[in-house]
Amino acid sequence: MIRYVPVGDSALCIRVGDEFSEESAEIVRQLLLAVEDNNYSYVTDLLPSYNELTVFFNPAEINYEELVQQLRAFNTSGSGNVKHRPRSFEVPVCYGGNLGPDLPLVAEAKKMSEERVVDLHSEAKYTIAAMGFTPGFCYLSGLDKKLFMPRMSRPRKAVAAGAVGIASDQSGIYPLSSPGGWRWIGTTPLRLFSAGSANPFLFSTGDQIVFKGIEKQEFDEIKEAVKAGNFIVNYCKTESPE
Amino acid sequence: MGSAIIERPTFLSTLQDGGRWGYQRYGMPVSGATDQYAYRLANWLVSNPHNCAVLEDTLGGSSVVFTEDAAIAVCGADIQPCIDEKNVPLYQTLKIRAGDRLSFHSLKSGCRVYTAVSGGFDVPMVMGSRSTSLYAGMGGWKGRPLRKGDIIPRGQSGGVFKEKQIPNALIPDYSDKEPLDVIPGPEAKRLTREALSAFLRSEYEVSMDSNRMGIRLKGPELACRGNNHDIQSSATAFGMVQLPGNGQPIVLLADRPTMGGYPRIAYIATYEHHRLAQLRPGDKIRFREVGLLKAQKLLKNHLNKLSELERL
Repeated sequence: MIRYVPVGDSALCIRVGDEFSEESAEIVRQLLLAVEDNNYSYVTDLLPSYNELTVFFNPAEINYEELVQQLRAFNTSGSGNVKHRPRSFEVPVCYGGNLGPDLPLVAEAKKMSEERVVDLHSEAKYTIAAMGFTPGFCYLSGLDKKLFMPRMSRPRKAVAAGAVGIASDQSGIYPLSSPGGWRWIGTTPLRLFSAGSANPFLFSTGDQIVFKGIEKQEFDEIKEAVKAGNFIVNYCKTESPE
Repeated sequence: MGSAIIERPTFLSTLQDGGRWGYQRYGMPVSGATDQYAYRLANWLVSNPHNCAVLEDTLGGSSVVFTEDAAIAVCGADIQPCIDEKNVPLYQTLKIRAGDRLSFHSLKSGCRVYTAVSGGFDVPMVMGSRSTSLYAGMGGWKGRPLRKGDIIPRGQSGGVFKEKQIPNALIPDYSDKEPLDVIPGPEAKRLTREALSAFLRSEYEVSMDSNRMGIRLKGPELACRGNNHDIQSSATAFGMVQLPGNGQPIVLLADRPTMGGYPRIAYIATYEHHRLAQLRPGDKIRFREVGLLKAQKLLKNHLNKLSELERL
């Protein structure tokens, strides 16, 4: 079920179902593509998050009721559009040590070995359900239930750029060094955000992510290659690229 | 061309434009001039195209020396500008000779002062905007607030000096104590009945703890039904009123994060945003409910007045 909710007088939210699910996220992704394809002059920004798509519009050109009328046409386009399959990426992560200082703590709380935590975390398939908090921060759905863990009661003053964490039922990736309350279990050498480049963000909402555990030496090598602009992020091997 | 030398910035002086739109989906705050109305008027007065960067000063005005002849205009908060110690008016095109100094007396009412210069402040476009993102440390002048001694290049302007003036009817009175019109927010129904009526009947004070991200309000504590103040993170907007667990509302401004996890109880109507942007710590405000239909009508009138002016 799709509902329309005004977000003030210059934006509206398309809400798919009552809560986030892989299905509702897929419908949001399809809606986003459909609205984008139309290149409406009055759409000023689009923000997909969880089971919602927020459409910002220019109130000089269109009002809420008129825009809802326009958008209703997309109601049925939720089923898979084969032209636009979600992108799927492999994200290398070095777990534990200085690059994942909370790994021992998570293992202890979950009464399992650190290796088991790493396996559970890197065997799951994730979807970027939303981006926000800081530019490029990825909220990932798909975390294994056995790893659910509340966020820290006192956030760290700083986590590293690329930090991979766990908070309640989500995993997340910090694009920039920032304060952080997520359980920091590993770090990716990938650069998720580079303001100056033509494509400032590596990922977008709706992309699928798998993590691949790597050793410190490989981490350093990839980090160097990323810095030199020579590293190409792998499409996930389980999905055929478009 | 030439440049503007910042002799003395205010408490927070940044370069801003219409904002960095199109990247909210990646979590990039929009930023831009907090008072978009004053920003547009100032650019119009110096015959700049849309989206030229202007100087946004906070709680006062900067001293700036211009190295070459230019047209400038000052709009926004009520303050007395001077060119080489001589008082000059707000809301009017002003002629600057090479070496002239723009300075200000102290602020009378309002919070933010906008200075536009012909050709605009020529800083690099980053992701479609010249706005300073304090949050990401990018855009504007080196991604940071202006400091004494910064030398900002001026862009190329159309050339001919054209004197213009904003009609009185379009100049806001920021000392005006009228309530701000609010539209119910997406989570307005989460408020208890008592909280909703307290919100609409009480006076709130703008807290010291306010900035370009948002205004914290001090007033009666408001509660959500079942004391549940967590929602799934959802989109924010300029003028959105969030209600965190402490019951004290926050009104989001230009540097707001793109998403938030607090109930969005109300939205300050867009035609009120210039008044919102000019609130300063200690100011007292009230809210008045308006329906979406009526708000859209009033907004249209407001925008029409602006675009009529810009066609002149």
